[in-house]
Amino acid sequence: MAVQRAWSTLVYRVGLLTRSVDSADGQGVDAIDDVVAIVVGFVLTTLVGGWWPAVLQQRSWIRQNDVRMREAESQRAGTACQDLMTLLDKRLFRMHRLLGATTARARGAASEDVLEERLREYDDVVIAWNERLNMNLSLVGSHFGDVARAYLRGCTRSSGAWVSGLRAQCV
Amino acid sequence: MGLRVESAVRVASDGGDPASIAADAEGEFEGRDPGSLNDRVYQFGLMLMGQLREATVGRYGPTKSTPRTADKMSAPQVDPGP
Repeated sequence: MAVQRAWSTLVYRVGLLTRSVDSADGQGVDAIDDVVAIVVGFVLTTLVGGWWPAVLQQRSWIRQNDVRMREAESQRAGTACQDLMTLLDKRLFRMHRLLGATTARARGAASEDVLEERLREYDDVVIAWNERLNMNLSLVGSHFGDVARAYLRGCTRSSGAWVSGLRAQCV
Repeated sequence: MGLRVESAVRVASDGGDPASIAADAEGEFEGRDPGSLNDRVYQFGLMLMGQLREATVGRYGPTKSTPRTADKMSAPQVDPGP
């Protein structure tokens, strides 16, 4: 609407100036200068007026997108962190329970069934861990960096997945 | 640590007494003794949660993990067992 109005004004003023060129040669040069100034002003106004809001809008979009990306990253990393820590805690807890059942069984304070149950639980979590070994390491590496990944590697140096075979011995 | 627990189970299943192994390993599961497994897992959790809190994760993380940096690390090894 504004552009249309500006264009109408421009056409009107050019018409007036053109008439003044016909009427007097001395004033004609000034009139042409005015026309050029108006046209240049109009073009510049149009260009700058369009370009500057576009720049501002793009900067705003980039900032909004950055915030959105950061939130999404945090959410994904949070989920990965929770899954991993749950698995680590589960493994630690079941390992502790297995150790307790083992010593209790050796003292005769626990039945073979209890030891078997603890062993099965531990076996399950070790398998779950080993099945996601590379996944967990790459997730931690990509979300939390190499330091965290190296730390995780240090925390969980391999435990035998031969427990399944061990259970057969116990039974 | 898992290997120690598993060796205790093996000793017990062979009719031996795993008490010494258990006594040695017991401290790993409780408390905050520096270097114990429990403490290391706790510290690891703190590290991750700290990064989450500061929103320094993923592309905004302290270091970017790439295949090139991963190559410098030894590959995980798991004994698949019998």
